[in-house]
Amino acid sequence: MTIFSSCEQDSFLDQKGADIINEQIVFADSTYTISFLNDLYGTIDFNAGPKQTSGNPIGYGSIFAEVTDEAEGRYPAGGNMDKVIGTGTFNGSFFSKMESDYEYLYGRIRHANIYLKNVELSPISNSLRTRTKAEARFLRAWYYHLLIKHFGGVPLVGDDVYDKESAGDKPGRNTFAECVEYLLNELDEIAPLLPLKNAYAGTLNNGRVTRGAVLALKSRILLHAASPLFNGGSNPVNEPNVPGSFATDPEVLELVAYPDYQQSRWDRALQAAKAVMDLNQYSLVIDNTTKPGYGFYIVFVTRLNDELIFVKHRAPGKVVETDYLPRSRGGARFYHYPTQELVDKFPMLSGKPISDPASGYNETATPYRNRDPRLAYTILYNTNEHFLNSARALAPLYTYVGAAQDGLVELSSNQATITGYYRRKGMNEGTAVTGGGQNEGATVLIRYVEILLNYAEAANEMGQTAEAMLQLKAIRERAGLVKGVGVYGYGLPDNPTKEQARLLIQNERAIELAFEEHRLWDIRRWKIGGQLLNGKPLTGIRITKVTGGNPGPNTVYRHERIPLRTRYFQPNIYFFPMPQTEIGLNRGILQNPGW
Amino acid sequence: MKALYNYLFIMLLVLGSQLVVQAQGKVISGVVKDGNEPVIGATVLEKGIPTNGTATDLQGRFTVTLTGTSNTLVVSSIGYVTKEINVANTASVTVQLLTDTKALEEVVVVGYGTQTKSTVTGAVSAISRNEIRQTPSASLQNTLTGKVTGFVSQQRGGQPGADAAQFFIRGVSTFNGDDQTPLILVDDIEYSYTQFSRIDPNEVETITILKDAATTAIYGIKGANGVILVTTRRGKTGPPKVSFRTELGIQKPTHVPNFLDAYQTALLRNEAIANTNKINNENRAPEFTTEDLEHFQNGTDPYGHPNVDWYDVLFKTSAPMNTNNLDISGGTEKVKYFLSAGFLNQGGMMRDFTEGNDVNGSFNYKRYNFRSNIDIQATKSLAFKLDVTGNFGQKNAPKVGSGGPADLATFREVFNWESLSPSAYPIYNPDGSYGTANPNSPQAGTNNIVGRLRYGGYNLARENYLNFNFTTIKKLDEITKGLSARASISASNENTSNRTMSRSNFPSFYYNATDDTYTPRDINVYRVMPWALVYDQGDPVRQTNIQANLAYTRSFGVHNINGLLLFNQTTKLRAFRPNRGEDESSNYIPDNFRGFTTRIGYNFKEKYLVEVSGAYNGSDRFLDHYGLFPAVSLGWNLAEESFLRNVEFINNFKLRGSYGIVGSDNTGRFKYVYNSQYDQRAGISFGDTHNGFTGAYEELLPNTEVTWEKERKANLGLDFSFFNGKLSGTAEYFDNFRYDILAERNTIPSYFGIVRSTLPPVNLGEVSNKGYEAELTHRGEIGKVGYNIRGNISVAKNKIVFMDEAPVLYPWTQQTGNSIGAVRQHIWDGFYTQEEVDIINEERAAGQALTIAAPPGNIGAGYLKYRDLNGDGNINLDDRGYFGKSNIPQTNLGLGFGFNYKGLSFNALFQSARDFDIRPFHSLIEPWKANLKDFHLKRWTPETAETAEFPVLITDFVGSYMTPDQASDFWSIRGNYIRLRSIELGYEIPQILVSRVGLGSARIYANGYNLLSWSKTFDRYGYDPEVISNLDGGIYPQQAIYNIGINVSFK
Repeated sequence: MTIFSSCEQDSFLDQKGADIINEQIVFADSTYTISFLNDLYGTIDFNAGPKQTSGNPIGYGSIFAEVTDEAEGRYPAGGNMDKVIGTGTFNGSFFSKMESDYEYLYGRIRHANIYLKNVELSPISNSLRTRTKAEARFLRAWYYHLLIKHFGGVPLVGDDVYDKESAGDKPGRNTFAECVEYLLNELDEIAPLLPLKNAYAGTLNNGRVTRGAVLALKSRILLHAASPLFNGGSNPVNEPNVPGSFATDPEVLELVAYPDYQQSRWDRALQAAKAVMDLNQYSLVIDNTTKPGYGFYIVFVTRLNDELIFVKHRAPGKVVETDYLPRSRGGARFYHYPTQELVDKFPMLSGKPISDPASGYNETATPYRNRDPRLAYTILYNTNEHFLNSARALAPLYTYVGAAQDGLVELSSNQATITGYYRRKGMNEGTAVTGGGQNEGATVLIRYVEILLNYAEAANEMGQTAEAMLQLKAIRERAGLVKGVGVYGYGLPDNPTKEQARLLIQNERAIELAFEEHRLWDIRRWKIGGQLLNGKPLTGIRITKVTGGNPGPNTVYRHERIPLRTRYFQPNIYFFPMPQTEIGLNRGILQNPGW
Repeated sequence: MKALYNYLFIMLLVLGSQLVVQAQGKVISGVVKDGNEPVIGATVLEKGIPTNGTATDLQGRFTVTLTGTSNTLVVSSIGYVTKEINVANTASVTVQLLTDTKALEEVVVVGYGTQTKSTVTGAVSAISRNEIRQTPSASLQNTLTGKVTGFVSQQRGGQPGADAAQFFIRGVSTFNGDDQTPLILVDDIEYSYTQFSRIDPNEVETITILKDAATTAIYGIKGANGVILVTTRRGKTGPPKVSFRTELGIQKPTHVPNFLDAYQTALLRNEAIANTNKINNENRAPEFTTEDLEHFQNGTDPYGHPNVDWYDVLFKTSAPMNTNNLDISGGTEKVKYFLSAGFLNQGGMMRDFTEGNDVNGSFNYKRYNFRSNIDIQATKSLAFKLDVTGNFGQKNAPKVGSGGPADLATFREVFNWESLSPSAYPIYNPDGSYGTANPNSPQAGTNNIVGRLRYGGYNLARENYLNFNFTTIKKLDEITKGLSARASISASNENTSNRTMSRSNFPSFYYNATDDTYTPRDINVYRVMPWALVYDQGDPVRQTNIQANLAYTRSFGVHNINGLLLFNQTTKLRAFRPNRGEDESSNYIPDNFRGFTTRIGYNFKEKYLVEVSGAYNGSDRFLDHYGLFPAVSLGWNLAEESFLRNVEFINNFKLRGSYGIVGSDNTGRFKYVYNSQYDQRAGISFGDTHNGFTGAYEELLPNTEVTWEKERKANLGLDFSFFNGKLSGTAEYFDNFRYDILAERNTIPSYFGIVRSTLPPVNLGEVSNKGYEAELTHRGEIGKVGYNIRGNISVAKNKIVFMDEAPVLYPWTQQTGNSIGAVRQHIWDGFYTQEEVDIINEERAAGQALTIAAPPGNIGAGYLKYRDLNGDGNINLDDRGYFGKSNIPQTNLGLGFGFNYKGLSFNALFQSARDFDIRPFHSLIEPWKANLKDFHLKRWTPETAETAEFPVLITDFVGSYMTPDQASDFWSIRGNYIRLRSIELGYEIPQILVSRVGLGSARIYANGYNLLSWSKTFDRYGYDPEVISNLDGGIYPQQAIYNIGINVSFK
C-alpha cells in the first residue's frame, strides 16, 4: 500500500513538466530579455497593417481606410466595423472593439513598463540596457500616441506596473495638454540615447527605433497638436461655426484638446519636422527612368530604402497581395475597394487637377489616361496591368460590368468590386496570390515624405507658403509628373494663397499617403469630415464595354459614376468613445463628446 | 436487477449449504414458479431451522431434507412475497410466488455500489435497458430524453456520427462554460462526453443519474455537475444464451424547409428595392423586369432564368440506418461472461453526385462496438473481473466548402440566398458544363454546389477508443463478516485521425442566354484540379485509473450498517496536434487526481435511515491540493411506522433529505492556473535582409489562490408507492448554490494594461440554481391488458448572484441577477408607422431631440420599433436589457404510456422542453442573406400593417439595425416544443412457434424517434427548436427515425 504513503502522495499532485517560462526566467536571460522587448515591435502596426498581420489581435487591420473617403469595405453586412462607423449604426461590437483597442494599447504600455522595471536585473551590458530602455520608452510613447489619436487625453500611468489585484487610487483622464507634454518629454529624453539610422546599416538592428524615428514621431504629435481639432476652442479653420474639439463642456474640452488656440503650436510642429530633415539621414526614393513614378512604387516593395523612418518589417511574402488582390489574381479577401473620390484626387500627368478644363481629362472614355503615375501604383483600375499567373506575365485587369471574376457587382454583393476599383498600394506588381515573386516591403508607419508634408503644412500655417510649395514640388517630381512650366512646375500654381496652398497640401497628403492610415486622422484633425462625408454617398465607377468581343487594347469603354452608400460623419466620430466599463468603474473618467 | 440478486443469493446459499449438517428426515422436492416461469435462486428453508435450506436451480427446482417438525417450508426470493407451504402430506410441491409490488425496482445503483430502493436517501433517477432500447438513436444520451427527471438535453443536430445531444443534470449552475457537464462513469470508469455517446445501448444494463449531495459528494471535486452512472451487462450462470438483434431504419429530417421559388423571390426583391428607394430617397431600377418575372413564372428560360429547388436537388427525402447486435452470455459458478458486438451504419441525406469518381463523398457513420465482461470466481472468496471494451468509428462527410464547419457547408448554403438563391444558376449549362452564377450577382461567391459535391472529395474522421478494466474482489469474512475488498485498474486510450481528399477547384461557366456566350468562373482554372490529400493524426487522449476499496455490509438484528472506504487515482494525458493554434506546452503533461472517499450508512429496521458520505479529494490543478466534500442524508420510511402500517393502500412512503458540499475542478485550461506564464511568438523581422525574431510576452497572470468550484446542494425528496405499486412516484425539491465559480474579473480598469486574455480565472462567481422534479407512474391491468402511464416534470432555474460585473448605467443592462446565458436584447413594440417616421425625419432635419425614439440611421415605415428604455430618444445599446431566457430549457416534461397484451406491447413517449429562447442568425432569417420562406410573405406593407409579422422588406437588412445580432425579442422566440420522442410497438412471438424453428425467443418490433414535433420555430425559421442559438446555418437537420427490428435468442 505504498500509494498511501505521504511522500509519494505529495509529488503525485505536484506540478509536472516545467518547460514554461515566466517573468523571472525571462529577465534572468539576455536572449529572453531582448525577446521580451522585441514583442513590442510585433504590434506597432496596430490598426494599420494588412488585416492578417496587424498587431491588433482583433484583426480589423486597416479598417480606417474604409470609414474615410479612401475606400468602401468589401462586406455589405452592417455588423462589419467599417459599416458600423461609416454609416453611424454603432452597435455592440463597435463598443467592444473600442474597449478592446483601449485595453490592448494599455496592455502594450504595461509590457513596456514590465521591461523597464525588470531590465535592471537582466544580464545584459550597460550600453545595451541604456539603448533598449530608450527603445521601450519610445514604443510606450508610440502606443500612447495611438491611444491619444483614438480617444483624446487618457490616463497616464507612468512607470507603474499594476497587479491584477491592485486597488487604491484610480486616476482619471489626463488632459490632452498633459499627454502631449508627457510624450514630448519622453521623446526628448530618449532621442540622444538612440543611434542614427546609418549606425544600424548592415546589422541585425535594422528595424529598431532610431533617433530619426523619435524625432519623426515628435513631428507627427506636434503637427496633430497644432491642428484645428486640437488647437483651441474656436479655431476658425474649415468649420468656423463649430468649436475646435466639438466639446462644449470645458472639463471635457481640456481632456481632448487645448482649450485655447496658439499659433506657436504650428511653429513647434515646423521645427520638429525640420529637425528630422536636418538629420540628413533620409531622402525621397527617386526613379523615373525605369518608369515614371517607379521610385514611389519601390518604397513599398523593398526592404532597404532611404525613405523609411519607422516601419514594421515583414518576412518576404505576399500579405498585401493576399489581402487586396482580386479573384483573377488568386485573391479571395479584397477587403476594400478604393472610391472614385480617391481616384479624382490624383492629378493629370501634367499635375493639373482633373477639374481643370485644360487638363485634357476625359471621364467618359479615357479617365485613366495621362494621370499621375502614382494612381496606377495605388489603384487597380480597369485595364491596369498586374501579374496574372495563367499568363505568367503582367496582364490587364478588367472591372467593367460582366468582366469575368473581377467585374463590378451590386452593392449588396461581396463577390467583386462595388466601386470599379481594387487597391494596389504596396503590392509587388510582379506577383499574384498564386504565382509570381515575393514582396520584400515593410508596413510603413513613418516615411520621409510624411515629414516633408508635415513641414509643408506647418510652414504654410506659419505663412511660409513658398517653403511649403517647394516640398510639394519635390514630392511631385519624385512621383514622376511632367515638370512643365511655372515657379514650381508640376502643375503647381505660381503664387497660391495660404488657403489655396492648404488645400493643395491636403490633397497631396491624401494621394501620397493613401492607405497608410493617415486619412482618418487627417480628416479629423482638419475637421473636414462633416463637409466631406456626412450624409453623402461616395461614388464608384460603372464601366461598360461598348465594343463587343474579348477585351483588348482597342476596346472602347464607357465610364459613369454610381453612388455608393451614404456615409455618416457626425461630430462624435472625432473622438472614439471611452469604454463604458471604464466609466462604470471610475466615475472620474469622463466620456468623449457625443457619446 | 432482481435476477442479479437471485444469483448472488444462489452463490451465498450454495456456499452455505455445504455447511448444513445432513440429517435424516423427509425429503421434499419441488419447483418454484412465477406463473409459468421458474424462479431461480429462491431460498427454500425449513421453518424454524434457518440453517436447513437450499436455493432453487435454473429450472426453479429444489430438494430439501426436513430435520425438524414444523413440516413447513418458507420460500422467499427478492421481489416476491415470502410464502409458507405446509408439506406434511406431500413429498413434491409446486410453489407459486406472488410478485411483491413493494419490492419492485428494488435495487438502485449508486456510486461504487448498490442500495435497495427503500434505503436510498439521495436523489437518484434510473432507467433500464428495455426503456433505453425503445428509442432508436445512434447516440446513447438521445435515448434518455424525457424519460428521467433532472436530465436536460438538446440535440443540436442530426449529422451521422455527430447527433449526440448536449446534456446537463438539473440545468447548469455555473457560468464557467467549461464546467457545466456532468461526470460520466461507466462501470466506475470516467468517460468523456463524446465517448458516452458512442456506447452501444446493447451493452447497457442501467443508467443512473445522481443529482444531490448525498449521491454525488463521494465524487467530491468532480461531482458538482451531477453524475451519470452506466452499468454494463454481465453474464449470468446458465447455458450460453446467444442473442441477435437487427434493426433497419430510415431517417427523415424533423422538418423540411419550404423556400419561396424564383418568381416569388424576384417579386419580393423588386419590392425591397422599391421600398429602399423610398426610404433612402434613391432611384434604383428594379432588378427584375416584367419579362424576367414571366420567365421565372413560366420556366421558359431555364438557363437564363433558372428556378431551382436546391433543397430537392441536394437532399434525399430519407436516409437508411442499420443497427446490429450480437451478444453471448452465460457461465458457470466459476466463470461468467457477457460478450457483445455491435455494428451501426448510419447513412446521410445528401444525394450522391460522386458516381464514377471513386471517392465516397456522402454523409455516413459506421461504428463497431465490442465488449467482453468476464467474471471469474477463483476461490470462494476471491473473484476477478476483466472488462474490455472499445469502439471504432468512422464519420464521412463531403468536402464542399470553407467557412464554418466545412463538412456542413451545403446545409448552410441551402438556407443562404447569397449562395443558393432559387435563381442562382442552372446546375448544368446547355453544353453540359457546370453552370455558375452571373459574376455580377451576389451568388457568384461559391462555385456550383453540385460540381463541388461531385469533385470536392471527402473528409473522413476516424476514432478509436479502447478501454480495459481489471478488478479483483476479495471477501474478508475471516476478518469480520460482511467485509470485502476490491481493487481495480483501468486504462483507456482514444485516438482520432482525419483524412481529407479534396480538390481546390473545377471549371464552370456562366452561360449568357442572350448572346449564347460562356464566361469561365475563374480564368485560372481550365481543368478539374488534382486531388490533394491531407492527413491529420488527431489529438490522443489517455487515461489510467486505480481504485481500491473496502466495503462492509452487515445486519445486527434491527440495525443495518454499511460502509465504504475508497481510494481513487486518475491520470489523464492528452495532446494537441501541432499547428492548430492550440497551446501545446502542456501536451502529455499529466492531469492528476487522487481521492479518498467514504460512506457510512445506518438504518434501524429500514425505517430510520441515515447516511454520511464524503470525499477528500486532491487535484494537481491547485496548489492547495486537497479539499473535503461532505454530505449527510436522512430518510424516514413512514410506511413502516405503526400508524401507517395498517393503511392498506400505502406500500411505501418515504421522506428523505440531503445536504452537502460538492466540488468541481475544471479550470477550463489545460495548464496550471497558479503559474505565471510567459510565451513566445514569431513575427518580428529585423536586419538588412529578413531575420526572424521571436517576441516574449506575458501570456497568463498567475492565480496562486485558485481552487475548485463548490456547490452547496440541498435536496428534499418523497418516494411513494400505493395500491400494490399501481401508483408510485417521486418528488424532489432542490436548492443548489454554486460558489467560488472560476471566472475572469470584470472590474480591472483597462489602464492597468492587464489584457483580458492574460487574466487567470478567479474563484469569484456565485449562482443559485433551484427547482423541482416529480414523476408519477401508474401501472394497472384491465383484463389481460397491462398498461402504464408515466409522467415527469423537471424544472431548474438558475440565477447569477455574483459575477464581478462592472457598475452599469441602467439596471436592465446588469447581467447579475439573471439566468446564465440570458441574452441582452431590445423589447419589440411593433412597427413604425409612416406618420411616426415623418415626425422623426422632421425632428432630425431640424436638429431637435426626438419625441419618438429611433435608432441611428435612416428608418422607414414598417421598420422594427424597439422600446426606448432610458427615454433619451435614441434606440441604442443602452436600451437592451437581459430580458431573454437562456437557450437551455428550464422546464422539461415527459409523458409516456404503454400497454401489453400477451406478447404484444406498445409504448409511446411525448416530451416537451419549455422556457428557453432561441435566436437564428443572418442566413436563417434575414432577407438577402437567407432564402425567403413563407414567413417572409407576412412582411409589413402599408396594406398589411395591422397583421404583419415581419418588417418591411428592404435591400440591406444587414446594414440596418434589423438584424438578429442586434438582439431583440422579435428575433429571439421561445423555443418551446412538444415531440413524440419515441414510440414502439413490439410482438413477442409465442414460445411454441419459436421453439419449432429452434429459437429460444423472438421478438419483432417497430419503433421511432422524433416522429412528430410541434414548435413555432419550424414555420418561422425553418429549423428545429433544439439547434443552438445564434446559428448561422450549417447544421445537419435533426432527424426522425423510423425503425423496424427483430431480436432473437438461440437456445
